[in-house]
Amino acid sequence: MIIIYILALVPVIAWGTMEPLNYRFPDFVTSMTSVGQILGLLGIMLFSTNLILAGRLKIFDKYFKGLDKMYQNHQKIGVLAFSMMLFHPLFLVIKYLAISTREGALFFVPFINMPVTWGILSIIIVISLIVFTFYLKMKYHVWKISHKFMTIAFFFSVLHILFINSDISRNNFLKIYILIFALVGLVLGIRRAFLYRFIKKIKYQVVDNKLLNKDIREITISPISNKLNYKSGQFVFVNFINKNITSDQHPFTISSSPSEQNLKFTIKNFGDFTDSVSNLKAGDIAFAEGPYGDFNYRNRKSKNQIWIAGGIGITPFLSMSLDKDKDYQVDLFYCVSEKFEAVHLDQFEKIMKEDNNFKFYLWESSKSGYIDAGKITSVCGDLKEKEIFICGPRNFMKNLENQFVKIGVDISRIHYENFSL
Amino acid sequence: MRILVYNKIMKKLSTISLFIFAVIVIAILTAGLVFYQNKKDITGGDTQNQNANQVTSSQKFSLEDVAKHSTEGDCWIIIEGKVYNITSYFGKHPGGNDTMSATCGKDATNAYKTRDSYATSSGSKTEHSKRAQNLLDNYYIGNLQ
Repeated sequence: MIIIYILALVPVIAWGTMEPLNYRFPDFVTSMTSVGQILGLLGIMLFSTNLILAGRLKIFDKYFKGLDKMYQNHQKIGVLAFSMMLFHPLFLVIKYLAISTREGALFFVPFINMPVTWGILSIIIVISLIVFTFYLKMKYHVWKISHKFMTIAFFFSVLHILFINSDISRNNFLKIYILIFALVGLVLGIRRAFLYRFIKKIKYQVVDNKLLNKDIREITISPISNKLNYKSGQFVFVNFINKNITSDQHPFTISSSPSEQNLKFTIKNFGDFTDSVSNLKAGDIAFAEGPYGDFNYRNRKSKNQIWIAGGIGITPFLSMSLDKDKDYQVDLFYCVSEKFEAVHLDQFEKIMKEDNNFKFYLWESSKSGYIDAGKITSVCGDLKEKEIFICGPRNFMKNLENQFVKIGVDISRIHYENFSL
Repeated sequence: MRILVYNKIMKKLSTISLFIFAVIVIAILTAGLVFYQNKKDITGGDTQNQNANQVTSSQKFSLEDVAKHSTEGDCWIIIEGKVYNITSYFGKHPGGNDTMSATCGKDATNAYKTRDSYATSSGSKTEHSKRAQNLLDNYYIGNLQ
């Protein structure tokens, strides 16, 4: 994250060295214009960064320790860039307001000055898309399609900085630096938003689709030629070819073991897309992109571990328990409100019988109350030297994490996965 | 690895930004419109035409008429046969008041074109921008006889 902010600050520093600072901030009006310029520079840099991140390159998975964390940062950077884009003209308009109210008002009217118009168009698109994202509850695939238009908004932003008479057009370093970022952003953005069919994916076909209980379904897909290599606990983006299902990609945690030929996904019905997967039939084609994620139990500080699943958050642990090395000491808590909600209990019972270092606890909150750090300590003893893996609803993970930190567990020993929901 | 729950904070930040943006932009646009209307009412919407390329007026002034307005507090100028009352623009010119006051009551065409009010080669010798031209049209009051 720090690297991202440093990269975004470089143009501001370059801008600062172009003229002495007292030229930039001699009086109120000029200072406000300078602040507006800085916001514009930062805004375009963060906007580029976000498009690059949305390119979902494998390297980001490593850098952010899991793509789910990258997406959290993507949201944070996006909102910062958005605020800067909004305040950029507000500071610049002061210069025109100082001349007359009419001049100020004309500044916001499109089609008077083309470079300014590009900026206005970009802001209008971004505002609509942010309203879509935050304030209108919409189906995932509708949101996803709408979000692609960010690339178009970005394209207008690039036109704006390219053609407007500014310090960027006067300074070669600034121009080249920002253009490189913008170009990479544009290429990755267009690739992800409009050319995603050409991104490398592995072809599978559906071989099984069965209900495990009222809400949870298991889809099995089998590779047509090569299989995907992955670590247990990772996830893939999958799109299915079936006319009853939208064709956009969705992230699914893999619940099968990496040693198996097939991929399995255990999917809870939340309505929407997860409901429509019931239409999948044997023979339907599926494309998997990935794997992504850093939620794996190997190569951690300690081989003594606690795994905690909340509801459908059991999926990565299904894979990890099948793939578990015997020298790891693991206590797995599977938290549900009642037993009938739990799936694959037989699998966990079987592993527990074969592996003395694996202990499985089905935690029913209707009987034992909500799980907390104290209850886990009373079952497993001191937690400070253990690695803790949590997957479940966001509040479930957050509450547990806070409790663990409170009783002295080092934050670097707590691992979580966000994509299960 | 700390769980990041930025959702709410980020949503709040974007809401606040959006709110401030909307309020200011709407305020400025409304003010611009009201100002435009007022000006139209006062001047009868005829003597001061807002449109840059279609500036016409029935008012005619002689050189003597213009020469009567030769101070900073009452300043008319002539540019390419058109008369402008730039009194209210004092204090706003980026080049300072002196560059304008030197031409009050006179033909300022050359000063305007060369940005050299004193004809001493001290100006930039370049024309004013299109924006400046648009701005100038706000102060147009009539033509030279």
